[in-house]
Amino acid sequence: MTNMKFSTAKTACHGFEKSGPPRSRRVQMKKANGTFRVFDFRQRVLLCSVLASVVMLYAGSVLILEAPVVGHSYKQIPATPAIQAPESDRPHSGTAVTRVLFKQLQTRPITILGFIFVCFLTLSYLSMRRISGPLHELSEAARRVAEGRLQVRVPARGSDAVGKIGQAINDLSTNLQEILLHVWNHAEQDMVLLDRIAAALHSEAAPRFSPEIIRNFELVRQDIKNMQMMVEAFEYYDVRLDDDKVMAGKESRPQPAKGEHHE
Amino acid sequence: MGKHILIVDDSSIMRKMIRKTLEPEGHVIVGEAKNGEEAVALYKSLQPDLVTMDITMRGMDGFTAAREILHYDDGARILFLSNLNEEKYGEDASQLGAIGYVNKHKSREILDLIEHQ
Repeated sequence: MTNMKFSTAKTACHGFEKSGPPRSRRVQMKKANGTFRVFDFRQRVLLCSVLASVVMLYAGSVLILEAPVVGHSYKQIPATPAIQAPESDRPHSGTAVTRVLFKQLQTRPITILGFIFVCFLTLSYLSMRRISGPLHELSEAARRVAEGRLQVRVPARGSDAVGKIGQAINDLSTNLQEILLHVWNHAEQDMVLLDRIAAALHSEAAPRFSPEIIRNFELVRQDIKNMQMMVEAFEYYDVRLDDDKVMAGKESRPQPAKGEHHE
Repeated sequence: MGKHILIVDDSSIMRKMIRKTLEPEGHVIVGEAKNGEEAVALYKSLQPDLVTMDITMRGMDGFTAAREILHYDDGARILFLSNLNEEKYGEDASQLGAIGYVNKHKSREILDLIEHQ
């Protein structure tokens, strides 16, 4: 999805831009308090075509229908072009036609209906934006949690459906962190116990153990280290793994850049 | 003797696990809070015998909440349950006036500490 700043309907209509190569994704979690406006290409095209057809409807209704307007009357255009109607000429120059059209439009009922329709379109566009902004924030947050960045926090926002999803993402992330740190802590405890067993195994007083047992013992240790590697692959909220200890504070390890900026 | 306990932890899974550790021993969970602000508010309204307090929470953290609760009621009994390294943070906890600091996963120690209150 391209993160293009939304331009007004007018500028977007002039020349339908090709979507082109996707721009590098800009992670904008800092703008959590503002609305992040994104309208993708398809939505802009749709909006433009709707507005264009409304405008054409106006012009079309005037030209084609030629319905009489309250307070005005038209003389029929005579069959012989040589005879011209004396007073209410149909003007032939471009700008004059436009002026007449415009004046007609102001009084026709269809104009009023059309105006209401445009207002309706504007309002629905504005409310789409109000939802699509937070929705975009939400999808960014969900993506980051999915990538293992559990320090992400969706800001609290109302009790509507969007707000509830945000809350659920926060809760999922919190629980995920809890599970992983749980695994970590138990793994650490196990390592301590294994060290004690190892010390006992290698002490002078211990009987000779078969290589089989010693090898299995080492495998258990490997296994636990493996589990811990999974935990180390995540980033946590307000917690970092520092030399096998769980410490408060932000993650300080450099992360492999994926073309994204870090907070 | 079963105590009235307020559980404070931002993870719903952890709150469930603590509950499962405490209830079989006859303790009554009077409330659950998921951040410091809720913890302080619930303490004031529920007046529990004991509070189990997580430290890293989204929103107000455990140390700040504990300070506020102790400010409100200096007889409050707060037990810190945390993932954080005990050696490093246990000292801070006792200086604050908490009754203890235990790793979340050492359920036996948690229960023993509560029993001996």
